[in-house]
Amino acid sequence: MTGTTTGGFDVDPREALAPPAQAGGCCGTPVTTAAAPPADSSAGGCCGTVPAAQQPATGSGCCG
Amino acid sequence: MRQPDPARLRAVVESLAAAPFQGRRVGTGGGRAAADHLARVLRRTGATVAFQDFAVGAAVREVYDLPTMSWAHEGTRRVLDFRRDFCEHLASADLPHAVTGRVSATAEPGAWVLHDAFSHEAVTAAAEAGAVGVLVPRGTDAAGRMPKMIAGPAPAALPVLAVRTDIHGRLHAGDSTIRAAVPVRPVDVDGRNVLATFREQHGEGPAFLLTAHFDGVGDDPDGTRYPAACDNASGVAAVIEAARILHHRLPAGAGLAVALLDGEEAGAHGSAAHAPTLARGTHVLNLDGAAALREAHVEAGGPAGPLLAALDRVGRRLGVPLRARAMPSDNRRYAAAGHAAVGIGMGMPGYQTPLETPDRVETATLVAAAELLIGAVEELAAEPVASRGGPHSRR
Repeated sequence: MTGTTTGGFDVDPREALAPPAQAGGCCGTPVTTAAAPPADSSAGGCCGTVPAAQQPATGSGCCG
Repeated sequence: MRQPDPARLRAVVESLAAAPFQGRRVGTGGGRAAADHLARVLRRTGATVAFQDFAVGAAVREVYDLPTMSWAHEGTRRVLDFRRDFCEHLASADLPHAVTGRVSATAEPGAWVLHDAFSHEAVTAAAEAGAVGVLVPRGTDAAGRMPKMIAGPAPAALPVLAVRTDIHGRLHAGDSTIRAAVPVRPVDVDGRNVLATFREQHGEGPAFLLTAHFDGVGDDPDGTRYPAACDNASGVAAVIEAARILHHRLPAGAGLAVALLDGEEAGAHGSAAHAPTLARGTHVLNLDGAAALREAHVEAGGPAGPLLAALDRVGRRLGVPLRARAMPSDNRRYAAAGHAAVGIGMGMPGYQTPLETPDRVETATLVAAAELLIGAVEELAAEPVASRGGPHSRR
């Protein structure tokens, strides 16, 4: 896997740096990126943040 | 000794996914046994190990008996499969014994009411109308399974079942009756983090914390196993292996610790308990999933610019693509506490289903994840104090 030039970020790494943490994200953890799922305790599904019918086939993190 | 050992990585995954740990749900005998097992593994690597116990509260929804559901329509009765055709909605009220009711699109006495989406207000209205329960649609994964979750919205006023979307749609047509039981209840549990110190930080040396959660969603009451090999035995294995190697490589003064966290699946409770105890200036790298390398998803919070730059450099060197994506896991607790924290995810095939078995964990991904962690820490440790985020300051 070494010696390739395909690794690393495809964008400026600073784009992975979140804005200041806000309360109320997935599983009660703070939302720290714009890409994070919205807090919606009425939505059902994992941790109340992802509409049940829209949960992904595979996932990452506590909310898929 | 100085490279990730595939056999050692696999051994951790396979041991954690084994039957005695019962899916490693927080607050269970299996979860506690997994913590003890990991403490022994870490001590064998030369670390000093301690436990941190914490209260989760009543956040966990426990399915204490197997839910049942059957659908009668036009003279036939079809028994539906749990976690394929239907499952408990996490907000469901307890329904220990099966209740029969006709299916209705409107809230009526004695009916199972069809809703297109869950809302507490709609369920409360159905309860006030005398309905027996609510049916909402839910999708499946590519294998036709409904991933198991254990934490969610506050309990609702009625039993709520999540029904496979196509079946839910067919329930609208004609006269149908549903007979179902939903034995689910909130349980008040405690969790236990496993904290390992490999090297104490001294002077202006950097401090690093590698984290991964070891808990899972637990086996079902009928004995159906949830091995949680990908989410997150794989992350635990890569973190332990990275620490084992970094222990012998880091420069004098650099600190290195590992936190194997409990209660993530119930709402990241282990990291919530641990983050406030961590010394300021610590760089946190959380790994959640290291099972299927297509690309690594990275989310950073707190003053993590130098950590991201280090990850970028090592990703390029190793040929590991990195993508800025949401990683809603324990890393957010550390970031919220003001620490430089990154969450890294490298795939979870079979996510929270019985198919999340050790054979789904790619050895190459385990090795790549360990190398990514090792490389990022070494990159940052080699930088001047000012470049890696300022002087280290202890609380």
